[in-house]
Amino acid sequence: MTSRRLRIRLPLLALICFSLLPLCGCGREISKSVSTFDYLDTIIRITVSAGSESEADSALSGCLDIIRDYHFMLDADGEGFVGRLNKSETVSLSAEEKALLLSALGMCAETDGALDISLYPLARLWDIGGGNHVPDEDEIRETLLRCGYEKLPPVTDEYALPAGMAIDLGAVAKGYIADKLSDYLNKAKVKSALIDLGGNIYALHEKTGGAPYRIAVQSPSDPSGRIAVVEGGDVSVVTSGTYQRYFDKDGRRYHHIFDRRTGAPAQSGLLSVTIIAPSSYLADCLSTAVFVMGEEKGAEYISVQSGVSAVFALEDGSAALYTGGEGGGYTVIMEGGK
Amino acid sequence: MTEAEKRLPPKREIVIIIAVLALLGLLAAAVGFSGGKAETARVLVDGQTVKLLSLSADCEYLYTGSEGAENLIVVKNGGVSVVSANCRDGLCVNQGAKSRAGQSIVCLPHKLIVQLEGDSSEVDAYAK
Repeated sequence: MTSRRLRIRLPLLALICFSLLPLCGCGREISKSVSTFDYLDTIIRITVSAGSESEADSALSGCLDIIRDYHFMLDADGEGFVGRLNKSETVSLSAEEKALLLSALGMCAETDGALDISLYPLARLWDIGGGNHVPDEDEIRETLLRCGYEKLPPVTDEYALPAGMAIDLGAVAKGYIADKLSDYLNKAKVKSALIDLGGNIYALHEKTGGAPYRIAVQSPSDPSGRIAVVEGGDVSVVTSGTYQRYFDKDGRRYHHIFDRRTGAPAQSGLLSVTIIAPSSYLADCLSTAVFVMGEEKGAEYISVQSGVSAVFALEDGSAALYTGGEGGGYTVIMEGGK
Repeated sequence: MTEAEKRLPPKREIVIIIAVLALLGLLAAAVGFSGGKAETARVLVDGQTVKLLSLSADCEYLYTGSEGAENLIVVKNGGVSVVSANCRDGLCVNQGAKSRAGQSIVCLPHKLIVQLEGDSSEVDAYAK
């Protein structure tokens, strides 16, 4: 009697154990998240998976330290080097600050001014999301005289801006910081992480169990919809669009991405551009630049960027994918327009 | 005890096996077959949950915070939106109605998030 019961119960026990295996976290991976409103004028959410709770906690607090430091360093109106330059101070640049300025100015030149970090006077004039001022032609003409990256002097250790000029690294800051965070988390040997800096996403490695991260691309016209899903790891997905920061006046929409040729919000026929790239800094730079370029020129630009893809949301409600050749290690699944 | 009774496992064991299989089936259904529709909206202020709203029935929730902060959150037809707010930028109202798990509506001035929850295996984040 006893031996018969044992014969039946052992496989039953095994069945129950195996069925519960996926639920009990037997791979020794602890997943923890943190979110904060305190930096970069946005909501920041970071999730890490690590071998223990203390490893995850220490990785997250390390991330918050990094974000805080760069928030102060890069704030256009703060006490860091950008804010001080904008207050007409002469600043002794650190090696990192100098390298970042050089790199950002390089991207301005490479995109032929589609990305231009010197348009801060224009942003102040329009004050999108603040005073929401529609300036007249004279105001725009006067302000454009104080804009243009090529008017900035060559970057030196002791650096100052010409009178009246101001820079804003907002178009590259989140990407730059996301890359710093992924470097840090990689060195901290976390198993995987998802960095979300206000919709600027970086996925480190792959999820618990080896599945790729899935990152949706928000539809610009349907708040509840998405136009694509990116599957992969060690990849960044960054969107620039007209649908987040804007105001409507007299039947027209004014958004926050400026075109230096007109001194007004870019009218390129696009509602949003999403760049998928191994580097979040590159994705951030290119999402703004390609948005200003428009579909035709933007697609041409992307076609020679290896490992980079772009999802365009067009004003007619359709969506298009462009890929710049080899590499990347991710898949973009289009879900149609709207 | 007859030969047939000896070969068959007792009733109790059969019941347990069926129960385990049913549980597994339910789990698989929960993980695999839901379409990413959110089921609840969690309202968080400065990281703390202040309200859970079910999306299965239409309802309204008026968040009132310190210094007169107000956001009117409305659940309608399975979606949630902030229909009015007295924050300085109004960006939460601009974000429209959301209905998929993983999406969120953010009001920075009031440190408020409306987080849609449901099938978490659908997507991990929204690029926007």
